[in-house]
Amino acid sequence: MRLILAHRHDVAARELAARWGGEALLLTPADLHDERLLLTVNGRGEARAELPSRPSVTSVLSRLAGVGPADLDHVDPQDLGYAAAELDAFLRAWLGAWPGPVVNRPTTTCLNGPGWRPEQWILAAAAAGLPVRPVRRLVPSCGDLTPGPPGGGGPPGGPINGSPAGEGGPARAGPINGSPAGGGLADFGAGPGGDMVRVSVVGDRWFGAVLDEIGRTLCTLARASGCVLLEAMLDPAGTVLHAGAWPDVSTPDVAAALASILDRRPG
Amino acid sequence: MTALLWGLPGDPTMTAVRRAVAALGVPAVFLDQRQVLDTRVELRVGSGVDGRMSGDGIDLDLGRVGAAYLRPHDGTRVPAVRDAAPGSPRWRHARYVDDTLTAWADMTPALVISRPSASASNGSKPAQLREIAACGFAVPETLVTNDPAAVASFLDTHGEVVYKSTSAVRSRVRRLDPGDALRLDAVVACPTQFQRRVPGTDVRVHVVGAEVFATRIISDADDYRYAVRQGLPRAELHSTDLPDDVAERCRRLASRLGLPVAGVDLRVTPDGDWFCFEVNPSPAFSYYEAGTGQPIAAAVAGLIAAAVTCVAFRGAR
Repeated sequence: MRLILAHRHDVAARELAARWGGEALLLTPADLHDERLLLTVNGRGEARAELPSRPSVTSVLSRLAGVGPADLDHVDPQDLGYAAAELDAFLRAWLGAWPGPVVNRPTTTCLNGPGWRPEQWILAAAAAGLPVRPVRRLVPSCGDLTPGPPGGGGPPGGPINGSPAGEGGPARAGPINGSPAGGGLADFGAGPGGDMVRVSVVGDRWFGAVLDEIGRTLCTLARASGCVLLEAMLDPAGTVLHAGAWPDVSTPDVAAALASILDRRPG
Repeated sequence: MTALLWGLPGDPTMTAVRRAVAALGVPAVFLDQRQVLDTRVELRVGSGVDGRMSGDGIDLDLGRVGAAYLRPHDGTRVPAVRDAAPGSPRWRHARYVDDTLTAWADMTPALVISRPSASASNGSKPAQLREIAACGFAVPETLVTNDPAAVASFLDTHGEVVYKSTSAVRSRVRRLDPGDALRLDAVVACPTQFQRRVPGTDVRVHVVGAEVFATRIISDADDYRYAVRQGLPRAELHSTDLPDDVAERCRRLASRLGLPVAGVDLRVTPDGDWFCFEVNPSPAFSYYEAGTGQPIAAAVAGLIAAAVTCVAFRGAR
């Protein structure tokens, strides 16, 4: 069985779970409270992650950027921050030690891939050889500050020396090139309207109307970022406007390709 | 070229580095985090990284930064912001400045002590243990769980057990005593980290580039940082030498984690085995420097000076 870890607002994850039916189990961070969770590390640093309450789980799809206080409404408010940090830290190690496939694998800054900010994805895309549209982010002094876009709650992530988690997770609604870093003052330079192309990468396959060369290079970008799953938004000329680790996994092609990766037996 | 130092002026470790950098005559800009409301930052990224920062008498081309030393705290907690409601303009501004400078620090080709993504390595202590073991250190047997029965079994197996936070949230290491065993049901609320207690002497190692400064700590406390609170004498700090292979493991570990400067927590057992518990990516080394006289800040300043000089030299060619 495939375990999907997702925030409660992740519509695509819910749709994917419905598509996979009995082959999948969707759990939110709050749901984990009712599961038995085990992680052991021996004296040689060999780790073992287990989910004894769900022995049929063999693989994990992580759609979590991290665990935040908003994910744990069952916890006493005065303990929320600590409980979220502790569960986040546990999952980081647990996902890293899970014996079967994990997509995307966690890093020090994110439970799903590298947790890069939009600017870091653009830099990485350029390094992979893709044409990119430069990104500019401006933070005026506070006296000049005007309110940010609606819904922007400030940059996501935890303490500045902790887990920056530049990506805030799956888009709650609307296009993925909406609000950078959770709603900041960045300018992606994308022109008004226009026909943008959305490409989803799943391992060595891509889904989207782009030239093969661009598709292959996006797969290279995915590998360079440590991701199996990647999404990119391009303009009609093939210039990358945005990339991230949260493709729409609910579409049939992506869901099928993802299932084949998650169902691979380790070794 | 210049060095950028970002943090709080009252932080003794930052103060020590600022003094040492000044003593070497390295051009440096100190960004006082208390002035966050006056700070303006612009970041431009395409095939490279560029930007500008200004405010509080500073106007800095971020492309001219050859080295950065970062010890920022949460910008929403500085005096000018701490009474601002979450989501308010001041609060958001502080978050944006933190996030934008953090993004720059993760992308700039300058030497950064230390990059935020590397500094996040101790955000999960059990995950970091695997990196530690990969460098040849023994690590304590560890269990993280929300299952009281698993904790009871672990306690039965190992006898003496300590518990501490799994995340980077600062916590005191405490021994699990029989009285605590009656409260094990509390772990169902949140996965909690337990470790076999390793007997021995604590050794704190500061790795600064290729240099290694080791401090032996004499204390009867389970966590020497809190000895006085436990009613025990203050920990004694003594400069010490490490066996060459242990020093090399420390260097390798810091390098593996991407940390030019790191605080490595070791314990040597009565049998001479070296255990490593965790690595602090932003060590407050002034405490150890004051206790031993080790020139740690000077070594950090030396790294900064070398990086600034090298970048300036490259630019001049």
